Amino acid sequence: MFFKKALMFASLIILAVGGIIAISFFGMRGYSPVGIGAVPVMAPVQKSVSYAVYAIKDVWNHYFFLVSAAKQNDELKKALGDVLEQNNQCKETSLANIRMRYMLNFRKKTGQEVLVAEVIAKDPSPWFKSLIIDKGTRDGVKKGLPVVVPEGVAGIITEASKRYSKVQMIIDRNAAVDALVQRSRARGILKGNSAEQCLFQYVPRKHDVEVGDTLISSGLDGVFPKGLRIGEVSVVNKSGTGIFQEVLVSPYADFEKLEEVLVILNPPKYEVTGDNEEDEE
Amino acid sequence: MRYFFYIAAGIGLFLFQSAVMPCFSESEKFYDVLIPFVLYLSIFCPLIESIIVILISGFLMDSMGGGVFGLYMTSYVWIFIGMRRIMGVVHIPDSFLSGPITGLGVLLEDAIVFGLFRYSGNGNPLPEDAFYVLSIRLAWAVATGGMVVLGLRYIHKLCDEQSWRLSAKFAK
Repeated sequence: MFFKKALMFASLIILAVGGIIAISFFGMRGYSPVGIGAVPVMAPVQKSVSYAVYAIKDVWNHYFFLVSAAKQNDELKKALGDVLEQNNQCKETSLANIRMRYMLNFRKKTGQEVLVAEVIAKDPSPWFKSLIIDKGTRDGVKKGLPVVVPEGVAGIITEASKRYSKVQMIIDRNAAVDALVQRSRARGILKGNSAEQCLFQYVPRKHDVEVGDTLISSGLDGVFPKGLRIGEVSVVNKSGTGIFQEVLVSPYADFEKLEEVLVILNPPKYEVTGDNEEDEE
Repeated sequence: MRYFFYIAAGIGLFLFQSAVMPCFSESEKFYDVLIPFVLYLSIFCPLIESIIVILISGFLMDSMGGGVFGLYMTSYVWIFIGMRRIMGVVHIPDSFLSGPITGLGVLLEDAIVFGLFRYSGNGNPLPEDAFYVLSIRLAWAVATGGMVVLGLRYIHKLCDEQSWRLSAKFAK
């Protein structure tokens, strides 16, 4: 009985040791004849499951997750819009600041009382050149006052209501400014022609006018103070038969881009002398 | 609602061409968008109401524009009369011929302006680029005038429907 038990025990030990040796031996070589048999069966399933999981993950990432991404995108777009708007406002403020400084310098230079007005509307017709400004009689604006920009003469107040006024620009066909050529002092009348150029009329042929000359206001029209820049001579034609030469002038003011203008509230006026008063009487 | 439409359309178009359009370059070569409005009134609206609205629109344009006072009122009234005369002779399918007829309206308005230049005695009867500008305005008018008329008709219908709904609601 004891022998039988000892034999069984010994057999178990031998089996265990043999098993350990066999596992160790085959394990070292990385070879498993049982496992390899399962691979061809399980691998396709694994593959299918993996694909399924990846597909679900992909759907989640690219569609369901996109809902939150879309929300985030909307928020970012809104934020970007706000920032762009702020940036635009900063740019506008900066540009307005530059223009205001320019106008302030002009005011200091001229030494006259000027009022800054904003352009709020323009004549829609191509045949008339006028604009509406946001200052009226309550600000001291009245009919006949000159309107200028730092670059030069812009126009004249033709109508004034309490809060708004209408300005006829010098490029209007019905506008006229008494002007001088700065270099040669040749005198003539500047009349509106089109947006780009004005006509400098009634300049005798013998008077010296050249391309590039600067035109200034003569002050003799009783509207514009003397010495304000108007424009530059762009074409001189003396080939005609008339007694006057044809002169085209490009105004310095850019009438397409006018946003603010200056109204001169106290233009210099000619004083009537005692002799004239007596003559008038 | 009908009067609301007249006021809203007239003032809206006026503001569009005097305050919105000048923000775009070359916008001055666009035609007067109140002309399709005048045409619309002459085709689809009662005589007395149309004349009152036309005179008010012309008054607005004359007040704000740089031309002689009365120029736009005169132009609009003549366009209105012309359109009524044409309608007496020819049946105008509004969606098809309103573009070319807007062009005719622009032509008539500019003819009156040129006549004014001619008799105002300020030298040149016509601006140098008159025909170029006029051709562009005509092209715009022919191309888009019909759409403006159709748009006005659509808005007018909406206003009428809203008016009926409101009146039905109050009747209950």
